[in-house]
Order: sequence, then structure tokens, then C-alpha cells
Amino acid sequence: MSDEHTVLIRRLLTVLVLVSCALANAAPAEAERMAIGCRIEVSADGGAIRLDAMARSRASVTGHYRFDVRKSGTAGTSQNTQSGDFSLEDDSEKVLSTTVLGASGADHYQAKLVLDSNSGSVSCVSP
Amino acid sequence: MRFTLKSSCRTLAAIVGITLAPAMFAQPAFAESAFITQASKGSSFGQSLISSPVTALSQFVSTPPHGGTTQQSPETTVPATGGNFAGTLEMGRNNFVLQAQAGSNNSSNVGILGGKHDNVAVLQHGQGLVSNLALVGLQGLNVDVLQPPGTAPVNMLIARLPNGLLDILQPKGAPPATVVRVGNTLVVK
Repeated sequence: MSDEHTVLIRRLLTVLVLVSCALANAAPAEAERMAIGCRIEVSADGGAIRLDAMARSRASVTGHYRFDVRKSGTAGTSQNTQSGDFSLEDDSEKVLSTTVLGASGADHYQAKLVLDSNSGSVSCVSP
Repeated sequence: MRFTLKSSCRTLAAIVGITLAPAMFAQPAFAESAFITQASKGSSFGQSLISSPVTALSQFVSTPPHGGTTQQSPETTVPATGGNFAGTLEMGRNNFVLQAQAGSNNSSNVGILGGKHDNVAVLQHGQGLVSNLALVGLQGLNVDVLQPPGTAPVNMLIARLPNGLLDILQPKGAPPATVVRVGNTLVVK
């Protein structure tokens, strides 16, 4: 390998490392700005399934949520849509909405939670 | 932490730019991800990294036999507060239940016991609305419960009498709900 090639490769690597460092410094700032997260907590409650729509935030936020749960089985189909406003304090987590479904082993469900807040939007699904 | 990272990057850049030997290019380089992927059964978690809604859809998947229970850690053990609640119990065949709640502190329970082809819709819009509806041994009955803001609680059991007539039961002392028949549908207000 010639000296010119070696120098060129060194320069390219230097640029790559500097760009990576710049991105690494920018990432935490982005993460701090978007502080909200969501979660669907699923638990068995006797012969039923309980789904809790949960939101958490590292900063104080306000927003709107929508929680959709669909279930199908031999006994029938159900569709639950719950929505409303929410507000979260710093470093807090809150149950926004709860749905309980009577279920047998053959039933299928699908849940989706969407949060729209002044800190951005996030969604999560279960299962 | 950020200062440390910056310093490390500067140092690393200087080292790479000055002392990198051509021999290193003969070796394949591998880098591990800086992110740790965590997954837990029975719960899904979404962390916002973009400013637009994430449109993630999943297909219907069988419920895990264990019900998807996850052991809650102390920091995730929170009481139920101020949200809407909807409960659905269907026993029978080919029934359909729709529950739509907008607002806060609304509660709705629908139970279909031994029903076939029954359709129930509960629409709540407001705060602190309550509806408890049970259908027992019915076939092909359509019931709509409409609760705009300020509506009194609806507590109702509907069953079919041996003579074929519908029997609508409400607890003693409960505010009487208005039941209107529209076509093949009972509308409860």
C-alpha cells in the first residue's frame, strides 16, 4: 500500500471518528427532549386478562391518549376504545386506562396505545 | 459524562489520525452495539425517539398460556388512577361488544352470558360515567348504551322470559334508564 493511500485512509478515519463523536454528543440532548414513554401491562386476573395502558415521563408533560383493544374468540368479538387527556409529573408513571377481557385459551387479543404529548408522540402494542 | 465522552473522542481521534498503522486494515473490525435490548413477556414498551406518531401494527397473536403476567418491580407498581375502565365478558357464541370511552373516570362493564349473535355497544363521553350491562340467554339482540356527559349510571340486566318477552331488570333505587326500541335495537339512555 502506498504512502498516499495510507494518508488518505487515515484522514478518512479521522473524519469518521469526529462525526461519530458529534452524533454521540447530540443523542443525549435528543433523548432528554423526548422524555415520554408508554407501556401496556398485561396480567392474568382469574379467568380474565387485564390490560393497563401506562405512560411514564422523565419530565412534566401533558397530552392525549388513545387505547384500542380488540379481542376475538369463539364467544365473540369485542372492541374497546378509550381515550382522554393526561398529565404526568416529573419522573412519574400513571395508569391511563384499563381494560379487562374475559378470555379463554383460544382467544386472541391485540392492544395498541398511542400517546400524543407536548414532548412528542409514542405508541406501543401488545402482544 | 458528556465532558468525559468529548474528551475521549478527541483523544481517540488524535490517536487514530496519527498513529493508525496500515497493518490494522488487514484485520476485520467488529463493533458491539452501544444499546442494550430489553424485552419482557407480557408487556410492551415504547420509547419516543421521533416527534411523529409511530404506526406499529401487530397481527392477532395468541394469548400466552400464562396470561402474560410480569413481575412488577417497585418502580412500576402504580395504583390505578383516574383512567377509564372497560370490562368485557362474553360467554356464548358469535357475540360482539363495542365499548368506546372518551374522557376520564368512566367505567363500563358488559357481560353476555349464554348469548348468541348479540351485539352490544356502549358509548361514553364525559367524566365519571358508569354503565353495567348484562345480557343473559339472549339471541340476536342489539343493545346500544348512549351516555353523554352528565348521564346517570346505567345498571341493567336483560333476559328473556319463558313466554318470550324481554325482561329488563334494574336494581332498587337506581335511576330508571330510558329504553327505546329502534328497529331491532334497544337504545338505553
